[in-house]
Amino acid sequence: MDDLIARLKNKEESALKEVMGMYKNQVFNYLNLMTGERALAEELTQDTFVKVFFKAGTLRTENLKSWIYTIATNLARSEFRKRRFKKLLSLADINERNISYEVFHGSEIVVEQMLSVLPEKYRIPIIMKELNDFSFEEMAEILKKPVGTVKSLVFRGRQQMKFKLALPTGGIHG
Amino acid sequence: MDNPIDETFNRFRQCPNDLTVNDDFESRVFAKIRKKKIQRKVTASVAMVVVLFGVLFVAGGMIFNEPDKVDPGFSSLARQMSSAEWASQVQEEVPVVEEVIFASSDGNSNYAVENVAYNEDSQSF
Repeated sequence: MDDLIARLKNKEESALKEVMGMYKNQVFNYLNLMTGERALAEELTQDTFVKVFFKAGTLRTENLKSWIYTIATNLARSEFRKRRFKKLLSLADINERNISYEVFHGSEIVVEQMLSVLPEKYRIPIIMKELNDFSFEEMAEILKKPVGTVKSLVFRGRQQMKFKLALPTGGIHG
Repeated sequence: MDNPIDETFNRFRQCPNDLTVNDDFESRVFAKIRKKKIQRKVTASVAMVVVLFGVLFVAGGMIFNEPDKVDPGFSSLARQMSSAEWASQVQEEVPVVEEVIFASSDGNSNYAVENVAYNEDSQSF
């Protein structure tokens, strides 16, 4: 990994190819959950690795994955600001959008439905924790927040999902 | 435990339905990198030209406005003279018309007072 990082800092294209091979689909799925739009997610994923190439010289951490996700998260946030995202997916629009995931039938809740009710500040930590399996320490590094704040955001995000989906304890929204 | 939420997340983790990027993903990334490199070169060149012009402009201003190093008194007299010469060349000739009133009396003669105009060309009144 150190060698890969060193080659990346030297702006070797082969190093970037290797990094893309390792992380492109993970980052793509992460951004797809964040944005709810496949085409946008792919565009942002491309931009992420372009930035990885140009900013490699500023890489200070040994944790390449966290650094890449930091870039991806910041790009997504910029895109949200640009497009003035207030909500990702509303429950009413879910059938009209190009949903990338298989929708579970019946009374089961779909991941997108759960995430759609959350504002950005809760959605990002929930996606990172629950669906990408980041540790709280890694999330703190990526989001540039204290660990305690990150834990609190995840907890409050879950509370909000429960409240907005009107889920009683053990019940399922139908 | 928040069952519905955890169940949904667990279901997702078990069957994540991971998407993959398009086949031309890497070529698109490298195309964007090449484009950005060209943009940076153009920006740097334009910035250099602007800075160069700025330096030349400032330097030129300093050179042409530099005060004379010879005797300042002489130079100011020279400026006055040159400005007078300049003024005389530029000045338009204005015909001289003066109202001359001539009056005198010796007790024997009466003279009329009248306006006269001096005609410069004929040098007569």
